[in-house]
Amino acid sequence: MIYPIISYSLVFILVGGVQAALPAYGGRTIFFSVTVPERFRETAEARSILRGFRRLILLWTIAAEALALATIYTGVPWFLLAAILVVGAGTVGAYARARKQTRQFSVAPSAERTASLAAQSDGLRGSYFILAAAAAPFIAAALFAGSRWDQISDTVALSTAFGVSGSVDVVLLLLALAILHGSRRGSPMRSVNLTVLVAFMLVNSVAPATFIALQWMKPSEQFWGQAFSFGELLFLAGMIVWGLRKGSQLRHSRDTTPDECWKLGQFYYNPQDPALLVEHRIGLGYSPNFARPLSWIAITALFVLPVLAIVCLVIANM
Amino acid sequence: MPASPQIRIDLASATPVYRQIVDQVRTRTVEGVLRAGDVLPSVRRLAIDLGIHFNTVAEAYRTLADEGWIEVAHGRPARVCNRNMPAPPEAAEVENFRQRLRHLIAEMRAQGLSPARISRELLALAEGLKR
Repeated sequence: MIYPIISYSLVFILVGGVQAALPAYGGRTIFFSVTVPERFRETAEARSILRGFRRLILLWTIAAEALALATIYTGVPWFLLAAILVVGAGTVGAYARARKQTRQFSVAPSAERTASLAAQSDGLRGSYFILAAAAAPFIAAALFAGSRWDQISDTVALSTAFGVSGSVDVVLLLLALAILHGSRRGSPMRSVNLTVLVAFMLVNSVAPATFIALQWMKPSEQFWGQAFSFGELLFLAGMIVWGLRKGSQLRHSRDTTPDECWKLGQFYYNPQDPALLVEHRIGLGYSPNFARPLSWIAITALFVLPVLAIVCLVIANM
Repeated sequence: MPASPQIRIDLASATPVYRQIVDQVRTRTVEGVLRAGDVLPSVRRLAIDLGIHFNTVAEAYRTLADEGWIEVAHGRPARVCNRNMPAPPEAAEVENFRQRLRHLIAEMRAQGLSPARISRELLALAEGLKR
């Protein structure tokens, strides 16, 4: 039990650190998902809003760490669930507060939109090849590790625990296809997002298979399990940092989505926009367009139903 | 690799968005940037890229097809046509085009462009027609 909790504890620190750093990695004219004048970030008001946001993130991260510690000392797993909720809700709340403070300085986003008139080219030549190249070892390793799942000890946590069982792997693959087909082309962030996603796919598949092979060589050494989990975590953190840095170099004031469509600053709802996925205004990744029914179907199928199944299972075993 | 032709629309413009798409695809075709046989993005693809409704793009493609610039068929991508040159317009229609050019030139002058600059722009466009 202790190793997964330590892993969660590391994840809380990682999430807190990333959240605190994120606002610095937005476009020049986007601040907490609000369209602002070009040099707004350098003003005293912007710095004050950012400081307030980071203080809240620090507070919620400390609270989550305390709850994770309580899980270790009391053995009550609900504390861990509470820690996850505290981090999730706290982050969303802190962001929403900062966004509300920023909105008084907002300006209208550009009404100009550009697009390529080419049918195929979107700056991602070979994107299907890259995906296939990532998917092949990913499927092979998943099958390999899945067939030897009982040999993975509980010293290996995080992505291994989520990775090969099938659910998250499918999510990543579907997400890659949804980005290719349902998001806007032409953004320089598109290839960065896909590269990070492919790296996640590879780590979530090849890494557990490698670990199993290592275990065959040194079956009794728990040290390798911990070192392996830490290495994976470090690699994923490195990929996120690379993506954020790359994004801050590439991202310009191209975001033309209306401010009012970003609910709580993080959830995109625009019935006028046919895109299924839109790039986050800061950091990496995409937000589903919650105005599209397909987004709700995908979210229900991939997240809500598995969570409901787990809840039902827990209640049935109580 | 040559840069792919781009389209730029302005949602704040008084000109309807579908008309902006029609005008720009037509201009790119006349200028030779888009050639006969070139495949255009699907209605869905262009609507997503521009963040506008599917129907707006579909209406623009229908108008372009009616004017003979592109061919659209169900289940196949829209392609730029090898458009037959229509018969020269009547004198009254030529006069109508001249009037529109005069209005445009007046608008350019109102925006601060000098007569010399306007003349250079028109000459450059006329040279482009010879290619």
